[in-house]
Amino acid sequence: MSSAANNMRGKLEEEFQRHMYDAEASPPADLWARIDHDLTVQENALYKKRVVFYRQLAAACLALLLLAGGFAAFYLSGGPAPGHTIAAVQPEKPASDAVVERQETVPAEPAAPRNETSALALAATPEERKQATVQRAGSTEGLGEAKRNAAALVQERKATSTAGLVRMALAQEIEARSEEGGSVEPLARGPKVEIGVAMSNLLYGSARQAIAAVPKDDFNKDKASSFAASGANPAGEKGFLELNKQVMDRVKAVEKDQEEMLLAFSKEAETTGKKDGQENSSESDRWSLGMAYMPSFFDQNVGISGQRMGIASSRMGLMPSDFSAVTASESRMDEARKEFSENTEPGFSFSFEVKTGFKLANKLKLLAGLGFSQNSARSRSSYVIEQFWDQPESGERVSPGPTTIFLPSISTNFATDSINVAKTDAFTVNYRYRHLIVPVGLQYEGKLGKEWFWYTGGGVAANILMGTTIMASTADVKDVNYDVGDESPFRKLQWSGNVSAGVGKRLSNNMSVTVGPEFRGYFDTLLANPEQAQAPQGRPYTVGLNMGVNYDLGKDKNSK
Amino acid sequence: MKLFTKPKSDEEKLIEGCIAGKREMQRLLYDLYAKKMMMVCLRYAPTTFEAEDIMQDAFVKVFANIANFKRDCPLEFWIRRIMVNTALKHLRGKQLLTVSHEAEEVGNLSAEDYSLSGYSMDELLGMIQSLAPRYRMVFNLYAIEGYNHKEIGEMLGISEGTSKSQYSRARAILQSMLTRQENNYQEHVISS
Repeated sequence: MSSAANNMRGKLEEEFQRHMYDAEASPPADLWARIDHDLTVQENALYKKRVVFYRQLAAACLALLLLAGGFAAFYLSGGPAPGHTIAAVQPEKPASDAVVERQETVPAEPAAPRNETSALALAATPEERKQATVQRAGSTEGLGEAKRNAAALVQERKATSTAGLVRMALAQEIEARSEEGGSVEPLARGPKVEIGVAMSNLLYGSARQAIAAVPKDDFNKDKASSFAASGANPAGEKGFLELNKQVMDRVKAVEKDQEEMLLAFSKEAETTGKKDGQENSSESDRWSLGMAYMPSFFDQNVGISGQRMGIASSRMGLMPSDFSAVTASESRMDEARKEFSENTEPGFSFSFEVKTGFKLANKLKLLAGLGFSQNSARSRSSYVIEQFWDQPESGERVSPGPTTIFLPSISTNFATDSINVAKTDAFTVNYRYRHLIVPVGLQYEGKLGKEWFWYTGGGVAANILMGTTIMASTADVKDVNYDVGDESPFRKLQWSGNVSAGVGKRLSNNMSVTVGPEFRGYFDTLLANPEQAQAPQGRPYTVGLNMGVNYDLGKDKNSK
Repeated sequence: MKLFTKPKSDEEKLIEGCIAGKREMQRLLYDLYAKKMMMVCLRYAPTTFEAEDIMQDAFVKVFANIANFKRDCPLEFWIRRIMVNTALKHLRGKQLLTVSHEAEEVGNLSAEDYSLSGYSMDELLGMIQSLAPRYRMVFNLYAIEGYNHKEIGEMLGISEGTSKSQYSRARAILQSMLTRQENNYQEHVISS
């Protein structure tokens, strides 16, 4: 408490301060109870907030897992195989059978089969039985109509007399008991009532509860049967009246309970509605959306075999006459490998990611999303290589076509019956790997100023190979393309880890931009089976510049 | 190791208990400061009911924020400051801090030799409560809490000069009240 300007203080001020500063007054006795209540409400709100937070976190993780699992399943199954649809392998059935099967397998309402049975059991006359059977055969239409009628019945519910309600409930009870073992005479009733039974579980839950609440010993099955058969037996009528009274009492009690619960619930909702709204808005403040683009340097780290060839063709006329065929091919292969090693360089690589952020703490954010990357490398080559294999049966010579040093060298089986290595004009080979990325990571932010902030983050990502393309700039070499479902020497599911750091600037209360370097290292080699490759394989990596835009969800911070 | 740790004071234990959310500790803290803080609230609020509301809100804030108490000042002062701020916020929300132009006529401003010993606490409180809200705030903050006009200006969102002029007005009104009371008392003594 500053007193720098207290030079104006006089006797009056001193007197008031002396008398009033430490003066006391008794608070009302119930004030602590009110504070206690407020504290309890606050604690409950905090607890609820935590529950909501963990629920959202669990939902985010689950969604991520499902996404990753879905892609993994798609990837592992190799995608849908053409020409192998279920329709194709299933034998065709006659149209009529198909219709019957469709009718029988229509997923009916849970009560529908029982309702159909009850309709059969309750139909008094053969005509009614027949009608009920027809209704069952025309299942879909019947059920549809039942649903439509049920909607109409909802309107009629208020107008339904109490006796009607009890009669339907009683009929259900009879039916239920008949299913338990006793044979009960069918009770005559109109078709509308049958539909009412079909929907009674839905519409008259309280009546059903009331019936269930009546002790079974009180129910005289014989009386009920005779009542049901005659429809006006005096003894049964007496039992019915007693039962009616019990049911009505129970119905009233249940309805009263429901009304009280509804009243209590609406009061609670009214009092807590405002606070809930505030909490929801603060929960939505945790979420953010972001997009990032990262041009990068990509090192594919593919090793080329230095192994000498066994056999070379002597038939090709491209070799100088003063060299033996084997020596010439070996020599050119060595040159081609050397050329590949010396002239392989990164191409233009990039990745694009869309991420959802969830604030775990004040400065810590969980990020997850989906992305796409295209990693490229290129090399210069002057050699065209063609491998040949002799078919043992026909003696025919086959070849996959002219290619570069790259593919034969990463092949798991280098053996060949003959090989032709031809020197041509220099051309460029592009290697392009496209991945679908499912990233998850953490990001930590700190303040640098009013608008600037720094960030650092790390995470892992599943990289699903969507395609590999090897393209040469010469017509002498065929382009090679591996799609997602094709057999290829490249790893289809690749895990990577990434670390990044950088600075960001807030453009507005919700919008910010970030920029910073990012390193992404892949946990495995590009080749699916590096142990079978002829040369040791390295792990690829990228180094790039991550540029992102982030949008914080939730209400504008100015309005807080 | 325990030999070298400073034993915790009762107040420290109380604070830690409140931070942990122990209701019995919160009750103890409330009992300890409730009476003083009630008077603070009464000085700022126009009515007892509003003083109770202010005190309720302020104590909830105290318990919610006690983890942020940095121990750089006495706990009582920290709680008092929360009471004052809550009162200001409460009155600001009710638009009671607008300057009233219906203030009483200013009496003799030169008189300085006052003793309040003859007044009861209720009389003094009644005088303060009868001031217009803005004057009451400025008077409480300056004369009793000891804030300077610059600080008061920041707290109330007014200039230092405005704070000074409003304080002068409040002071003059109080002086006139005291003078009137004094005169009434003397007349009563003479007539009797």
